[in-house]
Amino acid sequence: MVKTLFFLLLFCMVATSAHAGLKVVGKGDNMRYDPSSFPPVMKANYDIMKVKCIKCHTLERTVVAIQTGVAPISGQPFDRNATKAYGVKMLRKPDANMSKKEVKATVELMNWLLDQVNQ
Amino acid sequence: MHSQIKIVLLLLAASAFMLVTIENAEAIPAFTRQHKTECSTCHTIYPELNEYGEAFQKNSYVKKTVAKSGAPVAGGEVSGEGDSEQSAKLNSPAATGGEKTKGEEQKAKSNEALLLAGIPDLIPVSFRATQNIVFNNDAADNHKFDFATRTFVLNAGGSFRDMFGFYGSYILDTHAEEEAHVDKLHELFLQWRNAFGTPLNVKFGRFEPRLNLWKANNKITTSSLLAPLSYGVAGTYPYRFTQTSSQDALEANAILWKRLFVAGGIVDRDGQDRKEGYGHVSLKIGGSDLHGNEPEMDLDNESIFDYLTVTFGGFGYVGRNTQNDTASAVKNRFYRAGGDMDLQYKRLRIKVSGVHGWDENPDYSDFAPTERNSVVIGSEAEYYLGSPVNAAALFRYEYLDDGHGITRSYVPAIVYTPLQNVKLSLEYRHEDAETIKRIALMGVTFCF
Repeated sequence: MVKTLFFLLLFCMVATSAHAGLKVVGKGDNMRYDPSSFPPVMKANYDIMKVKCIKCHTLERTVVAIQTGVAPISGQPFDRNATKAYGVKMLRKPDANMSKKEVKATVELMNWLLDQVNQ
Repeated sequence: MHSQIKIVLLLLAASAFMLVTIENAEAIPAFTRQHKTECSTCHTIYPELNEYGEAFQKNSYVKKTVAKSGAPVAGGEVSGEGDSEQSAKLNSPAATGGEKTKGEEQKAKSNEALLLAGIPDLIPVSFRATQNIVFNNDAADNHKFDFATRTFVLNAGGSFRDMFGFYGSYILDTHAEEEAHVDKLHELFLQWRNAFGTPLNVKFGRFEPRLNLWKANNKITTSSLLAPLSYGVAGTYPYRFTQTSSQDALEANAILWKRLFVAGGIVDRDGQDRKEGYGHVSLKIGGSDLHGNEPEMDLDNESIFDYLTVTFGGFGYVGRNTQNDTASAVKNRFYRAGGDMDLQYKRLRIKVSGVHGWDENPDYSDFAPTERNSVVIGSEAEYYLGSPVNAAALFRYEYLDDGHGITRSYVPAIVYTPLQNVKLSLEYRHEDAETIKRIALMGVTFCF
């Protein structure tokens, strides 16, 4: 009985309510968002993210950070303050090849995604 | 002459071949294993440090930390028509920092003992190897091509519960072993981080005293480093002291107001009857602070200051050569005083270093000691090509007046990292002194 309750509880913790618009597809290095239900502005921002960010790291890193609220490498909280700091960090990398406009777009996208996850 | 041109062309062709045939991949040095992050987090081109590597080093090999709240920042709910297994994994409390699964709990328990003991989860060891091909048309022994210049080093580093940092570097093998006095234990030190809750770090052991902005291995070239860091006053017993020689020392250092770094220490060299002393101060303007925190930036407006980082440093060292250095009872008091600048703007990095030295009796003469002043200036410009070709070009100019004569050196070099832990370099050195020396060097460095 206790075991059954435990598994039921575990199931309830895992099977959460759905967001209509936020879909994660793929595994491991191929993990990414399905932007089909993103608003047009965020779709455009995602187009920038999926081209620019993967030059140095997989989108899995970004997806995990947004979905869990924890940056996977540093283990630090990944919130609105962190998104801008990471954006600035990437902008200043010598080989980032990103403009401020592009960084701003990805920061706005990450903030929007965080809001979606938190709803 | 024609044969030299052919050789240089051959080396260039080999480099070009490697540039177009090798793909990128992950790297695996000791800190990478511990922190599960790639080499480029802390290095521009291994082993040269970027500003996060500098911050990591100055913070005793402890990652930047922010106070964590108990609850996850984001709710961690994933849904839709995507990968259900992946969604479940991301939604799990373990992934979101909430309640742990049974497996996670067991894992946490197994690590608890290590955590309490302060012992790192993984043995923090890595290896670095360098193998060079040197071409010197004027080699004294007529050995123009030398394939036997190599170094194999064991490195260890990490931290004990964010309280102590440690680092070790042991030369397992080097071509220079038979040359006088290569100390195989290059570095082995422990640094007490923020002792008694103060900003003060106390470092003890064998290490390179903090004089310049850069340690000896903090460079993109395989072999040579800036002349002020490596020069010794040539006398009867040359090269006993260089600014990057490792010493048995006790150092106190601190990061103040996030951008000022100060260090001072005493050195105990075998055979001497008194200690040597040194001091260093450096100030970083622009870029992330010395704890690795990003600067504030307006993402709507462009400014050159968003990309400009300049660090200025100054240092002094007072010492004396001893019987252990020279096998002579005659002593030589000396000092070095100088300054450095490290400037970075986007892909361009410029390093400048200058030092003035004074030696009381560098020839160890019993009857006619002659003082000697030395002035050495080194400068280099690096340009990172970056993704998709992880390479950099460098040009270095050096002026060395060691009191005997003046040597000017010009060093163009290109380096390429097909993987983050493998570096190929092609370097040419033109030394203009009483006689002109020209040396070409092709090297490979890798770590694992």
